[in-house]
Amino acid sequence: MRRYLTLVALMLTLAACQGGSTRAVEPDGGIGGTGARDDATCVEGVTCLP
Amino acid sequence: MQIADVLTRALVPLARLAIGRGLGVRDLLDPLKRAFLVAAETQGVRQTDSALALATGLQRRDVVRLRDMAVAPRIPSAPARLIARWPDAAVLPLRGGDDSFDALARSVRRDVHPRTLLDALVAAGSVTEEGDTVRLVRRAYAPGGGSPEQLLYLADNLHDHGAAAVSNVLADAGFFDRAAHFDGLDEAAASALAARFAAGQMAVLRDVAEAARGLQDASGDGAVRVRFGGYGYWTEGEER
Repeated sequence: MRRYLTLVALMLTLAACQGGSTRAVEPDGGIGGTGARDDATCVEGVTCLP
Repeated sequence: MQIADVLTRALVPLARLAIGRGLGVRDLLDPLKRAFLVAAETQGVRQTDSALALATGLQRRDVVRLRDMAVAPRIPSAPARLIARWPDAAVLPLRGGDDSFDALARSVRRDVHPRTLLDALVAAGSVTEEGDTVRLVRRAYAPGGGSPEQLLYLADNLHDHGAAAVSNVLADAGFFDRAAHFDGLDEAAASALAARFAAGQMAVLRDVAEAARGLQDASGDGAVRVRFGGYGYWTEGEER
């Protein structure tokens, strides 16, 4: 009986691993692009960086 | 404007990129054919060689040759994610406990050494290394110098901007796509406007990124990806 329960638990774990996340292995997130690297972004009334 | 003129105008920057990288028209034929196959796939064309050839105008032998040549998948940017997770403090100790740069880097990518991420961020001008500390210079990752990372952003940002505009035209999709455009200005005016736009745009991007990060951390298992971006461009004289 114990062996049977272990097998069921293993199968459930495998199923969860296979069917779960739709996300890529490494999540994406952030701000980036091709520019601007030398931004002078302090403008009156607008937040300065960083 | 005829559709051929629309396509030519949209392709001019890519032709400039190709010429700048030493590529001629012949080098672009296969990428263009592959793009047609990808587009046909996403538009629900039946995935047989005949149906793809019919929908795209490609010769059947080209379909057979190119259809299994998968386009390289998008690679999430670890440096950009690290910057997005940078805490409120502008300066972090390089090494040490949970509040160090090393710990932050390890939380983003365990399989990449923190030094590698630091070098990438320093090269991009996002951070500076100051003795045993790392200082945040800007809350964005903008690699330069024609690097592979910069080209990845070029492909991703142009793709999604183009996809949004084309979806609006073909399907009235309602993606946000607006620009403020004026002429008759001088260089100083253009620079002042650019700085104003960059500051406002970064404030919006940071707000959206922070909200997105919270939602991602809360659930983070959905199938939808998003990209909200902005750009500014100015040039002298008439440009076709």
